[in-house]
Amino acid sequence: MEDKQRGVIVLIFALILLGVSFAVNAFDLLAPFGDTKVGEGFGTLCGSEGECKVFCGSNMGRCLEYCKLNQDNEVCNKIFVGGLEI
Amino acid sequence: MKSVTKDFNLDKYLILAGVVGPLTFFFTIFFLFDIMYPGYDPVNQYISELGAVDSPVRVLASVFGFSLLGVFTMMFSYGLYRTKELSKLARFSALFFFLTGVLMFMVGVFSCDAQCSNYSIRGLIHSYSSSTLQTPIMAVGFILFALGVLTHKRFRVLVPVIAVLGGTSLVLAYIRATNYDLTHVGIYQRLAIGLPYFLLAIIAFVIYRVRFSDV
Repeated sequence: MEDKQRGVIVLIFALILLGVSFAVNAFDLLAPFGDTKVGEGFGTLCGSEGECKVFCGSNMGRCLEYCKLNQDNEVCNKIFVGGLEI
Repeated sequence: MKSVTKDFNLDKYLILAGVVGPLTFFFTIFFLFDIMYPGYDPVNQYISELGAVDSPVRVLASVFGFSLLGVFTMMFSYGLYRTKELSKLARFSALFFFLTGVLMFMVGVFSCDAQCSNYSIRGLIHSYSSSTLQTPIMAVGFILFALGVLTHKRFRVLVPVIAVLGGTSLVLAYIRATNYDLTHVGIYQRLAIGLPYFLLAIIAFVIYRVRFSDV
């Protein structure tokens, strides 16, 4: 294959990739994977109330940060009894 | 009589992508998009926040900042692989630079969550695609390339440059990764990510000079 043909293929490949990136961001195509309340716990940090209690025992800072940003998460209110001082 | 049209040389453009990519990234991500984002603080905020879901410059930063650098890096790696003057080991390093490019492309596709506090699946993929995986994979690429050009008369000049810049960026990446409440995190991250891409640009420039200076 000649350099010119390869060059055209590389260019098309590059434009397709940039097009994909544009479409995903402009139309928020990955929104279904952007839910921070995924599962029954604290997003991707921990999956359930029990699991979160154990996780937060050694990762209090990360749990507090999550709950500050997701104040309507019921597990936050259960674990941090009395609410958070925000 | 000279021919009006010169032969098209693909390698020339592929290697140049390794210079143009990082320079474009530095201009857009380190300067242009920062000033387009009202209230953005480059000293204390992550660069990923420019492409976060709550960023006003999300599309611009993701496409023309992160993904474009990924595409340019992939193109450069293809040019590196095609460089016959290099040893097999140095050409093999192209695989790791290609993977780095794929990861940087993914950084642009998988935006981080609001304020880059990543708790969603998309945010988690963003975290892994950025420095978590990119730094070690790129480091392997630089090490293999350095070992591959150790005895090369014209390319071995790059070895001390790789050792200094690569080593410094690894130390910075380690400091950033192990300090949760690091102050001036924006500066650390810009250096930790900027230095390896600056190094990539230097390597591309030297290869370009050596291969095409006589053309």
